[in-house]
Amino acid sequence: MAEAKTDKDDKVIGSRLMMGARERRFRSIGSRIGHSTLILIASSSLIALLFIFYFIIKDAFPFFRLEGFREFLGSSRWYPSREEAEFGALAIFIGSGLVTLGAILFSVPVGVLASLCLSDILPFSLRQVVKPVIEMLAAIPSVVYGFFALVVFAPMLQEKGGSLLSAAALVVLIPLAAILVIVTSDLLSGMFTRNVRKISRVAAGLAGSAVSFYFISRIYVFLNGLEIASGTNALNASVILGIMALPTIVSVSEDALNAVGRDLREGSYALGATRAETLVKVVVPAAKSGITAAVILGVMRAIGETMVVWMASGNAARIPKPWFNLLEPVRTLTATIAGDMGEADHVTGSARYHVLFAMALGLLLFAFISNFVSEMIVRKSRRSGS
Amino acid sequence: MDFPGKKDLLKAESFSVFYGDNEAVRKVDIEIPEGLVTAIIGPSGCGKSTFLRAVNRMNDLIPSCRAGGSLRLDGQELYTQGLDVVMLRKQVGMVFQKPNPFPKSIFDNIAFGPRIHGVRDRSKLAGLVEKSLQQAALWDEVKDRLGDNAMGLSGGQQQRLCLARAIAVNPKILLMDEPASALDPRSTSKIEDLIEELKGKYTILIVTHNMQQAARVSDLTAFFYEGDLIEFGETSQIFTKPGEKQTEDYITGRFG
Amino acid sequence: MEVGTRKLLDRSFTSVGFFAIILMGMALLILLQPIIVRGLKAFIFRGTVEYREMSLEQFGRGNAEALARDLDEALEARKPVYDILDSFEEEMKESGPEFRRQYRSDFSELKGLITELLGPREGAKEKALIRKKYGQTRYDRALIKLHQVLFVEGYDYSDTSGMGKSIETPRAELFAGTTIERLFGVLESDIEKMLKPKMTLYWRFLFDESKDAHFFGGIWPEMLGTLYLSIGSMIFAIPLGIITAIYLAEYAGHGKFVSLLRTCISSLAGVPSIVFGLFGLAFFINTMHVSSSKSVLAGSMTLALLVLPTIIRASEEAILAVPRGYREASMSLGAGKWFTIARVILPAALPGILTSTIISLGRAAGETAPIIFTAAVSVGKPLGLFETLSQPTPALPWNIYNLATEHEAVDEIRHVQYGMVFTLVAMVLLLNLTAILLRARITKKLRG
Ligand SMILES: Nc1ncnc2c1ncn2[C@@H]1O[C@H](COP(=O)(O)OP(=O)(O)O)[C@@H](O)[C@H]1O
Ligand SMILES: [Mg+2]
Repeated sequence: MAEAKTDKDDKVIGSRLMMGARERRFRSIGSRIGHSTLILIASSSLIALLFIFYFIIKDAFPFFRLEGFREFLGSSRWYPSREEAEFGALAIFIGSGLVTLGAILFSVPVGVLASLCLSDILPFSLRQVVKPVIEMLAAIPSVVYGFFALVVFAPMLQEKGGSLLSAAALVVLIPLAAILVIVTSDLLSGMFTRNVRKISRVAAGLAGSAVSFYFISRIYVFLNGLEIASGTNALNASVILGIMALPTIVSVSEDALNAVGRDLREGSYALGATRAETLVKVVVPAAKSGITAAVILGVMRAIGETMVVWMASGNAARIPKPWFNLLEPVRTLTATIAGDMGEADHVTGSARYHVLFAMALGLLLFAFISNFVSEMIVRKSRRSGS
Repeated sequence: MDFPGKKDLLKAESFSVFYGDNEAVRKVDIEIPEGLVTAIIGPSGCGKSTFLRAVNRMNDLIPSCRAGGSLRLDGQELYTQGLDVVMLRKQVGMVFQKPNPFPKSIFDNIAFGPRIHGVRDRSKLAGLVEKSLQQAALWDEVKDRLGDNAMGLSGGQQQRLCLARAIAVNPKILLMDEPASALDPRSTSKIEDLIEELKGKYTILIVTHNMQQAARVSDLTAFFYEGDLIEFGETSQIFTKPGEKQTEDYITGRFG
Repeated sequence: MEVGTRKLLDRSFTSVGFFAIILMGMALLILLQPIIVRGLKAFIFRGTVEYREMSLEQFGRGNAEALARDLDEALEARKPVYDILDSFEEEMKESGPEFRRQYRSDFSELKGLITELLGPREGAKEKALIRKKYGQTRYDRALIKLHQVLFVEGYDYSDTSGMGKSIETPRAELFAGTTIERLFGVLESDIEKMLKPKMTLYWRFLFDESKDAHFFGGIWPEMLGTLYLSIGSMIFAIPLGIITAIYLAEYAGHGKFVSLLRTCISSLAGVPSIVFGLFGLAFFINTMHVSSSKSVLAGSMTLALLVLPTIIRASEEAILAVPRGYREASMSLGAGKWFTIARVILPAALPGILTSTIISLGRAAGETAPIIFTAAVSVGKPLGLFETLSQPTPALPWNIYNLATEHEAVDEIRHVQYGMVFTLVAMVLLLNLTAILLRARITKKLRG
């Protein structure tokens, strides 16, 4: 330390604190260069996003010029490799929508309930066990889910589809019906005077049980008799996609539930509410924007997924009859892109190549808007403090 | 302030510090002489830390913070364009309330400062480390395990390590912001002994809540209240016959 | 409502919640169980004498003397089978054309099946395809083949309302009254002697190249390709991600630009992975020409964009978690901002950043859609380091898809598919486990 010696004798330190003019300029230029480089590199995501939009639009545009919008969105005749090529993608859009809808129908109730259980019901030690389960579900690659859907789940559906479905229906419907019957009979009996209350309650309960038994057995018989022609269908893809969307939904909505303060919960408990009442009437409404965001993210995950739908959905570009029939094979946007690009690859410039970019543009816009909406919801709720 | 043979090292004139619109230090005038220990006391939130951190411009780290008036170190205005904060901080060392060693080895902690300022030579560094640790009265306790992680030391040892780290760059002034408030009584008295030892070699500014501590270690005492400097004078005089009513109330309320 | 009903509702709500959790756990178990059980069979299985012969001839492994002894014994055991076949051939020659016509096609089918089971007969013409040179190398496959020999599969359409039901009839019935009838009994009782299965540990499955389109051998090219792609993507994503995180955590305020940047990052995270693939094709390959066609380089760049948002977010979190004290101490010693970031903040944030990097590595290893058009091919040699700049590669996720859907003998190589799936899942889960343990250690350290 050369200066160290001089420091000792040098009593005047004030004069050494100023930078020379040259050093000053040097440093300010240096820091400006450094700063702009930093901003440039930090903007890489922004640039990437712009480029993605630009390149997808650039290659999608020729398709609309060549073929127009009407056939693309209005027809479901998808024959891209014929001499007289037809590019009706309606069935494919509907396929994507149907598979996503199925996935969401399964994963939203399960996911939200699981997140409630995680945030409010499970003891801490059990939570530590469940968290890794969710992380593992999230970590498993989609092609593995696809492989499972194709090799394990599809044959299972094909062989024992009816009994599987009917068993699942029983597991869901019987407890639901029981609760429904008890609650309605309780509510009904509340309308009578005290002395007939008990009798009316029993009567209502019996009647309700009879009605629900009738309906459940009808449903059971119907499902049990179903024959599933092919195990690779919309239902298969929906179930697997639903499982894949679960981790996203659970973790995002759990965050939202945890953000609802203790005091709100305690306020509700202090009024004598049970835990279920507190959760349903106080906590969930307070966290509803976060839960909505979770659902949107789940939808995005399902609609953007490729491998599972490609392997498990059957890839038939037809609109199911009726449109919500999950047991028929469908074809989705992502699977079409993945499957057809292999054949269109070399003929860059053909409508066949560009139509896939048009589909990608549809997906991209959907993802972008969903993301924006979910961000707005979260931001707004943060501002309003709920 | 008149101290025979002591020149004024730090001089504030109508010096203010703002956080946004909040004036946390208000038009303070003070002259702090070289080579003595100056204690800064006052109720919490009165601007002690803010003033202290103005001296080495640590407040620059807070975006909303700006200064007004004049603050001079050895005649050099500190709040001016082109001031080299690196040189300033080399001259003005700081010890914080909570010990904050880096998660590195003891040796690397002490050598951090000298290395920044260009010392590369291993043996020179080793010498500096030993000297600093000895000044901080820590050498005997750690000389056999300089390579160990500093996070493994006790709280008191960590604080002395931070002191040694500050000393290692050979500063003129040492700022201490409640350096003993997070420590047990034993470690506290060690730190106080150290301050006694270092007196004369360094000009020390120490913020403390502990009146006995201020009385024990300092030559001069400054009393801040709601951002104003109320009174500044010799410690013995401030604690025995304060000039201002507020000072008296504060000291009697807290003393004993 | 009555208190009793409310309590009942409360309790049923709790159990429904538990049910949801259990459902998730079961989903994981049901998913992993076949993958683990059947995946391990790619590594540990009962290999037949045919396997040992293949192993010696194709890979030069094993004990030639022991094999010769085993083969002798096996051939001895197979002799009655061939004798029966030969005598039936004699019988066909001697009998009238009616008899020949009746049995010719059934007999040649049977002979074909037996060849598939036991391998070509000694002295038969040398086959060109490696897969035709040997009988069943795995005993589990051999038993399935044997079942095909013993039974004929057909469909029963008698129930006109439903779909046809598959039914099996013993093949022996086709040959009732001929010499061949005895054959099935011999095969069934002596199959073990004919094939001499032995427990085999084939750990080299991971490190062998495949022979004849994955009929034999291992998955090294796929493993290596996956390693290249995932590590390559990190080479691009980590510097970009960490520098962006530094900017966001240390420099950026709350201005318009920063909030735009944050929106872009979260939008990028929401872009479907197949769109990344198309973008990679349109930009890196067709526009930038980083390589003339698919390459590991183009695939890595595409994957890097995919994992970038994850790395940015986690790194920013890790940097923000570094105690303020470190920053202040470093600055108070006269260190500049850059120096403080490089020497104090980043090292302290490193474990956190590492955690996110490890998880992203797993994500990049398992992604399929982005590499379909940018990097992956179904068959290929293991690449050298510099070939990655211009050559495409096989990769585990893509080849799982490919072997399970497009291979000419999907059923015969199930064990390879399962082995690949098992390997990929093990890789990803091990990475995640490491990350979880690392995170637990950090939390512990920060707590005290
Ligand atoms: N980072 C900050 N931003 C805004 N205001 C601050 C900040 N730090 C301190 N203040 C305000 O400045 C005043 C003085 O604070 P400080 O100097 O920390 O007091 P002391 O150290 O005497 O307890 C207080 O009113 C406090 O609220
Ligand atoms: Mg303070």
